Amino acid sequence: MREFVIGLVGTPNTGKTSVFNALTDRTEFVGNWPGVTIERKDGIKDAVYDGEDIRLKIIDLPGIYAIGSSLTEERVAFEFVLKEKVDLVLTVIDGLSIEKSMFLTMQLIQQGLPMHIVITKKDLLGINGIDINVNHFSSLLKLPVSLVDTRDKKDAKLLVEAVSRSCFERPVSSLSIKYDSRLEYWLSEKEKEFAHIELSSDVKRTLFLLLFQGDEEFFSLYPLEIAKRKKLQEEIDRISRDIGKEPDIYVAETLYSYIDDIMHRVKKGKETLTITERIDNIVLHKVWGLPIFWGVLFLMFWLTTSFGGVFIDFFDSIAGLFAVELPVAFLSSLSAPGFLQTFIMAIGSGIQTVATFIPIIYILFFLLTILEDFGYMARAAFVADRSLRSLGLSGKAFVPLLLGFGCTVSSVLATKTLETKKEKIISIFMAPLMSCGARLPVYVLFASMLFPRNAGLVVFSLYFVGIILAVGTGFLLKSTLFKGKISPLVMELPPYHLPKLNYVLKVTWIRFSSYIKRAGIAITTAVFILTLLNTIVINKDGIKLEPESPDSILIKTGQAISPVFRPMGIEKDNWPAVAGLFTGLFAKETIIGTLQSMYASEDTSAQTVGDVAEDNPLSLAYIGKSLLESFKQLGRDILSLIFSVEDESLENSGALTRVKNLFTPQSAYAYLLFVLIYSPCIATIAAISTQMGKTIAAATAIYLTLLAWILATLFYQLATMESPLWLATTLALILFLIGGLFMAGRRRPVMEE
Amino acid sequence: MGRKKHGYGGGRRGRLAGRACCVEPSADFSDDIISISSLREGERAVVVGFSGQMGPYRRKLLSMGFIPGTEILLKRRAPLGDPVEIQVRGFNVSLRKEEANVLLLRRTA
Repeated sequence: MREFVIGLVGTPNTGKTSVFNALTDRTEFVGNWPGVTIERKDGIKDAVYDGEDIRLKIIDLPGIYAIGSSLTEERVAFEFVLKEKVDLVLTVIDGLSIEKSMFLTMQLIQQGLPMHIVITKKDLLGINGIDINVNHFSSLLKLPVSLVDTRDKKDAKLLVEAVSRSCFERPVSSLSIKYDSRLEYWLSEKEKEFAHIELSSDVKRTLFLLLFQGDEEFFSLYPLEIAKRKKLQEEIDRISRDIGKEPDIYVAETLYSYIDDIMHRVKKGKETLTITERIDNIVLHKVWGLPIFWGVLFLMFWLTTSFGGVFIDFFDSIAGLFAVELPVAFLSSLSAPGFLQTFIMAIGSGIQTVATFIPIIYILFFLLTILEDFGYMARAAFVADRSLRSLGLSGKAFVPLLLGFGCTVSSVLATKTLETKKEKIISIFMAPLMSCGARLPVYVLFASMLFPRNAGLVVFSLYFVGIILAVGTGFLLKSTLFKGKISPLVMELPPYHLPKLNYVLKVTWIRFSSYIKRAGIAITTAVFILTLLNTIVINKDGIKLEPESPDSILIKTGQAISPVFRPMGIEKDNWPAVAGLFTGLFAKETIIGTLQSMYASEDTSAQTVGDVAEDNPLSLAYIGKSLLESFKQLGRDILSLIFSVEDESLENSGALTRVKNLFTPQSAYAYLLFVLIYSPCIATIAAISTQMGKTIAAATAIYLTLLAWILATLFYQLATMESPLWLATTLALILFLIGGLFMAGRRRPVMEE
Repeated sequence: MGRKKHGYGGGRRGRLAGRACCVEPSADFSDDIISISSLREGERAVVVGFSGQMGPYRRKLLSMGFIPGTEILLKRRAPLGDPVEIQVRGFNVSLRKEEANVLLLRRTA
């Protein structure tokens, strides 16, 4: 079977993804391009052409407005069609605004690649009073052109045929774009001068034309040629003087003179954006713009946390049954060795943790896709841009930061939409400081125990401190490690368009499944290790395995390092509070469970390890009962969402009242500060590492844990005035931290993307 | 609506980086050359050239069709006054005022 590689190119917001979906049967690969956090999708279509079975491999390249290397996306797309063996370039043009895609199309034609053009939105042309003469367009560009409505099955079929034909015929446009004779002469001279570089003359011409416009992609591909840079620059300056125009303007003007001529001949009518106008007059209104922006973001936040939250227990119990309970019961029925059971249980717990994130992440991706597809995402960035600039962020960063209040994992994932690495890193450092939903129960418990009169105020103050610290962190990073100007904003505000459910579901599924695959492994591994540490007990009788034992390595470590927390008011006999911080790495809300069981075990030293199953877990009756219980709980959760039943599952068991005796108000608030700031949970760390790599993930965890200790201690010492020494130490550490960042920033070259 | 002075030399005379003159047909730097900052909502203007140096930002604007002779329309400012939304060649682009001051414009009646 013959396989053809097709590069799918086009400007953003042209319906490139809908062409991809219409053309492909299945997506073979979803991941990132090497070295950058830009999504790459490859799709497969098996077709028959002329009686022969063929396979089309369609690579969805990042959306770009021009060929070059100014942006990461541009470089990825450009280098792909340059270096890889592409059988056909499929260029997508938006039927409603052809002109927007023409600059890129003309540049691709200049590169002399085999090319086929798809014009989308056939169904909308008539309604908007636009008429495109496709045959004329095709004969002017000297390339095959298909006009399609991607949702029409018949059109999709015809498109597959047309594209298959082009794969065999490899149509290369004979349209030649002529520049000033002096420039043309220089370009041909350079082809000869660099004859040792093995590229087609068209591609060489493209590279030197880019160099003429000030784009140095040529040197990044051939670093050895950098010696000739000065000479080339002098030649370019001379030509530019002779022509009497600056190079970049001259080239753009020449291309646009061709484009205007073509547009004039093939397109009648202009898109009237009445609907878009009307919506924008409301959502970008001077007065209403901001409240609407907040409203949309709040709705998104509410849906992700509440609506997604409803399913968490359900997924948790189902996964617990099938990944932990049943396998372990099965193994014990075979009387398998204990360590094997522990291993399986640990892996199961990891899978269970991943499962609890499924609903939140799926809903988040679903909403992000809808907002993006509808066109509001760009507007949100437009509205928010001004207020985030002082933190070195663009308007797009608002969404991830707000989502942080729901779940830090979703917040980290949403940084995907940001353009530059610098912005992604700054947002990722800020995100964990937005108190996620898991931290709230901890705040509420302590506040209600120790500040019964002002519980609400205490919880609010923690949220507020988090925001202040996030802003401070952003500002600090921007002015030290990530100096330099924020990347300029040139953002299209696309026409609104009603999202199609099946399209949204498909895109969501592609993104979601690729994330679960990548992060699932990382989360499972981390939970696996922590679970083992929480199970292995080493004492004078040797090594034992005991699930969630108060003597496990993890807890013992907690006890051993509890002196570290002494300066923030955690006394030696309050070691469970320290152990809780360790188990809090699973998920912040587990702090409560740990405190409860530890205080209880201290109280009575009676073990209340797991309720013994009455039935055999492997019997159908038991599985049925468990499933039924899960569904009942789901029903209750959904009802509580609708009728907002207060379902605070904080049973004030006797054990938890010990919090009152072991903490003073000062130490309790210091502890809460620590819980607010310290390292995010492992699911978040895994998410950061899949997005930005292990280094950034580790740096985030370390920075936040240090900051947590410093600030919690500082607060406690200020509140109690216990020891001037510790007070001085923390103040010195803060200065040291800030100073260190400034020093590091001074050594670092300014980051320009 | 005072005119702000920006690093780009908004409007008056950009640093031409030792290059040939960039402004179209023998335009003298008279007072009718303005920058985006001094356009009001709903006003139209024609691009007459660029100030400042060649670079990625300028290439991006050029590729989107901001070339000398192109008419643009300032559609609106964001609720906080910045960025602005510009209509060019039938589509809408948002630009930050300060960055977009490299565009030299002339008001059209």
